[in-house]
Amino acid sequence: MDSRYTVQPGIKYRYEQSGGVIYRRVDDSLHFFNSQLVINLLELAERGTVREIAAKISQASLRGRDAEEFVLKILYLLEELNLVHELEPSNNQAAGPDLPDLADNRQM
Amino acid sequence: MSQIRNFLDDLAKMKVFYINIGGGEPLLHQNFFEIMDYAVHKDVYVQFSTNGTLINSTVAAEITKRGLRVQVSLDGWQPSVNNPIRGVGTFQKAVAAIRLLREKNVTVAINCVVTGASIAGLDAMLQLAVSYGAKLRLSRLRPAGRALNQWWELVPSREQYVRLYQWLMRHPEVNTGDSFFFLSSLGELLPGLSFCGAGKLTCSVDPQGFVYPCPFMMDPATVIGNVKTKPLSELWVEAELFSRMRTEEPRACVGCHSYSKCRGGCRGASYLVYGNWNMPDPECVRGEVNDKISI
Ligand code: SF4
Repeated sequence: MDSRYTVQPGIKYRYEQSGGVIYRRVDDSLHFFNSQLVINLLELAERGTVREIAAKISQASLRGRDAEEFVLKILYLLEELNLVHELEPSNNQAAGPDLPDLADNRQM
Repeated sequence: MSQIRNFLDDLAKMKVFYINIGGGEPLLHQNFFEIMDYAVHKDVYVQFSTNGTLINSTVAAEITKRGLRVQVSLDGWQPSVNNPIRGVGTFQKAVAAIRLLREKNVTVAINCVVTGASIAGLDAMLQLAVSYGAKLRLSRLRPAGRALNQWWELVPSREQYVRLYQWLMRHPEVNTGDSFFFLSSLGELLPGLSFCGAGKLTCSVDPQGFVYPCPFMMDPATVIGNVKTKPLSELWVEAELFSRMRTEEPRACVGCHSYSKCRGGCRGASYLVYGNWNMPDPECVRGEVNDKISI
């Protein structure tokens, strides 16, 4: 839960009314997600550990779900799609959390 | 230029990832590189299509400087296959352009429109692209422009589509944009999107500023508005046609086991063939749909 992730270079994303879309420049691929929370997580991915991100999003939008498990599941999915990757443990000690306040408008 | 700048400002505000510029021939525009500079400045990626005839070493260097990506059209792996379709001498000119661009390290994709006859030559087409360090991009033949009158003759048969699907499964490195996702109904999902992006992720803007859901629905009946009078960012959320395309599904596709992989296929193809975008894809490979369609 102390692991940190980084977003791959050349990734752009935006929210859509019913979710969001991620673009990867290297192969021109588009990934559409029905959940704004996925995009939200990508936005937060570099800003803290899994535990810190989970704490932040559970306050804002998860309401009762196991936030850490959820965050990890989405990060694994994003990693599988080559959109983020986990940092080596030596890089994991990076700066403390830099998490913005979340607007409470992200939907699943 | 100020209208174009405003338009690009709006695209950047919308967080548009990239724009594809087609033609005609985009390099004929006298302000082409000035426009590209502004797009780069606004962090909107650009890819443009060219027949290659205006590309020389200076132009190639200008393209590299801006990190633009280029698509060069070729419909065959040798002159005898390409030139009857694209015109006398087009193969040699396109290949010369690809060489020049690759020498300057430009990312180049060879865009090839797939017909029933060309499926057998896809290995050779891919080999040609690889030999120049280019990518291969395959596009679907839509019943528009020069293909209109011969579409039913040129379009692949179901058997040929099965072969194309199998070939694409073996070659995930080949880009197909939003052309062949409907073939996923034949089995496992092909890489990329599994639905038509028209009105959902993409739209088209013509040189006069008129907005349409996609390049195959550029018809007076499907004009969404004009970016000279209303920003695209507003049209994108307000237009009724866009919201219908985001929510409605073809009735004849209801109950199809492959719906999640195809979602009715290409809206532009349905519009071109049936005059109704909300019909199942005219090339639906499941076949079962044809009985349910009443035009
Ligand atoms: S019936 Fe509709 S959803 Fe099913 S494969 Fe055909 S076009 Fe696609």
